[in-house]
Amino acid sequence: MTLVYLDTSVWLSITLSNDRNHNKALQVLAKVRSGGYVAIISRHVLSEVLDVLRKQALTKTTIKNSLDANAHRRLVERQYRQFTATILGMQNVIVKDTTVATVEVLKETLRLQREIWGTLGKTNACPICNSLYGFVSYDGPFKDDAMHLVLADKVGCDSLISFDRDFQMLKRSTRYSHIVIQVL
Amino acid sequence: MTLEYSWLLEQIGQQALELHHRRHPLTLHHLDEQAIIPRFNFVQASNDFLLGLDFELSPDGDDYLDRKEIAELAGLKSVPKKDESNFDKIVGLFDATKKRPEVDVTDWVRSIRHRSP
Repeated sequence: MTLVYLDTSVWLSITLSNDRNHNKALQVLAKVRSGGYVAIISRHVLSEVLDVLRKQALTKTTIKNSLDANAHRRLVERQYRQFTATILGMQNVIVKDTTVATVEVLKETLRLQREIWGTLGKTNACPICNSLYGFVSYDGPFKDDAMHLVLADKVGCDSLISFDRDFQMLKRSTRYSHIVIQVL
Repeated sequence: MTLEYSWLLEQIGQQALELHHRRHPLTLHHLDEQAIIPRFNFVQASNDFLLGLDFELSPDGDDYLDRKEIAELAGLKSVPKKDESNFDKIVGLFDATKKRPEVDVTDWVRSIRHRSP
């Protein structure tokens, strides 16, 4: 039995059939179903799912055209309720959050961000209209993803699975080399 | 012998309870037994402790209170029962019920780019 921390991207890819990582996510789900993995879901993941649902709902025509101010909230709450009702009722899926002091989690997250630097990308073209423009971008791990790794460690996970590329960079951390980070 | 066994059991129980409280510090200030009992399955915890298992991860859900809290916050009337069918339900849960018509935006993008200096 491997204790795995599934990043938000994995859960969302499972719920969306047209997601490009859907099939890979289903393979992870199959392992959870068979008991090969015990999946940890944290409140940090649930917060992110709620965030994504809020943003996604804004793109729906029913919400754009609705005159009802509460339509957005109703839709998101219904979707979130469906999600939690399903996920909380799954075998081998465990809700687990660390009970260590918040300051320890924040301290570790900050340390990790200081440890892992991303790369700068420079182009002479605007990424939207392609006209001449000095565009500089930074590609590095997001603080939320660094926090996922810290939380996975604090609850004793053996592995962390994600589709986000920035976890690839977090693999460089010597502090968390005991956790197998799988970027599928 | 009975006395020794009883002492040993007490020690195991104590260790298991401490471990449990370390994981759930909120219960520390609920010192009365009534508050602790619903969170703590003495026999299960002691057995798991003896086997060296992390009893928080026992299959029947020592995460019950976490699930209950999350379920209540989400507006569910009860804590969902563990059921195999949920593995099927979650697949495509957020799929749009009506498929959006596919729109070719190539010309539109070209026109935007064309307008740029």
